Amino acid sequence: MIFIFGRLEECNSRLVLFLAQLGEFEVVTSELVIEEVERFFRENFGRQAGYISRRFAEELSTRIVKRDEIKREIDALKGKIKAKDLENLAAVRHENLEYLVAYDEDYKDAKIEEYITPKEFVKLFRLGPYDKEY
Amino acid sequence: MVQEKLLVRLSGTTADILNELVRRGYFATKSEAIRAGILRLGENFGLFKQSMHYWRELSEEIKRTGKQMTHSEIMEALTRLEQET
Repeated sequence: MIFIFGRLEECNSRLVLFLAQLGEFEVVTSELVIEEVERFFRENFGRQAGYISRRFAEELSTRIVKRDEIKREIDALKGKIKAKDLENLAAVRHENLEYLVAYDEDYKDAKIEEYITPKEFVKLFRLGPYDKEY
Repeated sequence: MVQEKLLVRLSGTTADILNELVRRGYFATKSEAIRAGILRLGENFGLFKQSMHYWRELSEEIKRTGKQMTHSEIMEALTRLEQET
């Protein structure tokens, strides 16, 4: 979502991506996110856009967490969070990350302490955020 | 956009590596492998970041398609994506 909205709209997700490119923090991405980004751009803008978006997400990431590495965390989190969010949260726990930047009410509902919206994340860097949460 | 057309003669190790990169499928063509190599050099010498290159490329590719998505279209596509994953 951050990669997608950040590319397509003027929003806080774009500020998050700019901060990442400036090296203000390290980006760790799950394999799932990389796949979803590629698929989104491929299905909506064509094969080349899919390929470029994947390379962008890969190059911006300091580390990409593979599915095989997080089996234990996935098993431990099953039933505590929706299946679609499982892999991302498992990656966050596996890497012991401070923040899970996303705009997804399901993380909030599940009281995931690492969850932070793009708007709140941008504020940590003393940037004036856009009004919208994402 | 600046364009450069070069004729580069390669032999020995450099030619072998280039052929092998394409043969193994890392790059579709030799030209593509050479372009990627130049970008890597630029990155090594601190001239730019690969991610910034892809950011610009993606903008250009989206523009080239002429397609624009509204916020609700993006949301619908994302929801569909999540359901299918």
